[in-house]
Amino acid sequence: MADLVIVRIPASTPHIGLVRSAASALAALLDFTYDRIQDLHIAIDEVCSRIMATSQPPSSRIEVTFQLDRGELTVTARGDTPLRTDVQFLTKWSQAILRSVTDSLEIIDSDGSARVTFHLGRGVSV
Amino acid sequence: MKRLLRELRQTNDRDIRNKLIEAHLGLVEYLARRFAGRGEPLDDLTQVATIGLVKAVDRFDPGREVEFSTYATPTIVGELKRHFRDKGWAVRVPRRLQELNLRLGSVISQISQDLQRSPTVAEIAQAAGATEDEVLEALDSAHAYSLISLDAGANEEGLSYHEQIGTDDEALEALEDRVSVGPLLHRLPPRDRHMLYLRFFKGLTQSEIAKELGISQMHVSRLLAKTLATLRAGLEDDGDSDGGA
Repeated sequence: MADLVIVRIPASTPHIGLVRSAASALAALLDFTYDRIQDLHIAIDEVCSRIMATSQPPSSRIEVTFQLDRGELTVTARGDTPLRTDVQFLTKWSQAILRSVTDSLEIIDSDGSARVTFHLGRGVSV
Repeated sequence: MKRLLRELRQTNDRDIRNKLIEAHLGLVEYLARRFAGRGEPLDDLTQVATIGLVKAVDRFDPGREVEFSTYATPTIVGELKRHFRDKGWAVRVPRRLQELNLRLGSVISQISQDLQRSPTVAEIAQAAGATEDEVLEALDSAHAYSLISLDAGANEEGLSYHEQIGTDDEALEALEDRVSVGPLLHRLPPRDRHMLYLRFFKGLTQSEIAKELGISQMHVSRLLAKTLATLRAGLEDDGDSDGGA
């Protein structure tokens, strides 16, 4: 049975720190390595800042769901408003970053709103 | 002193203003020192405190029954506090965590070497003689600092990146080829570009990059976070254009 933790923040840069803190605490529970925790931070920064940059009207909230299951972490982030159609949500650059810091990445884009889910393992088998 | 201040109000004479500022640089220095040792260089603090002094000189009403230094002190201290608040660092982060944070850099490097892999938080805590919560807090405070520190200290760990990087052109080409943040990459220092290349296109882990460049993992993590933040900010400035997926 997977444990779920949901963090909902105002969509502004300073609050992303809160999501990062929650992420490191959960990752530590799962015994992630330091490297993996840093990867997790990079992924969270990237996804949240893209949601803020591309939603129109600007999202007022971002909801990040952490799913802890069998020692691994699945993170889903979404804003609460539709995405702009004139700019890309995840640019090639963002995707390149996200793919290199996560084990898998899924972007679900429907009805103008998007949700990003990524998944990380703990980094090593000790 | 009050006579000078009254004269300044009447004449707005630059020389008098400068004289008044110079006469109080001792106060500036004294107050700046009180904020030293909290992660900001004393030179920067002195500059910030001087701005506070200038504001005090410009705003002081000589008709008031207080000494100028009594008036100036809270203005200068206010300026210093604002500086720390803007930097998001010392005032908010307790000294205990800052010290742990400084120590963690070498602790992490050491146990990474011993374990031949990146350590877990529990392992870091054990090696540092701290609790896991303290380690997490200290690491978070490092991150808060990294995002706003304008230059994470090119020579912080005593190396010249230019000496180490012979392959910058290669890195630039590879990055440009695969993504289209284009012109923004050119504006980055070669060191930061090289690190992006190693992490995101060569697929090296932060530990591996730290090893290759001979710096700590924490430093790598700070520099990467800072560089990505710079690129993000740049993208927004440039109208958020990207060449399409």
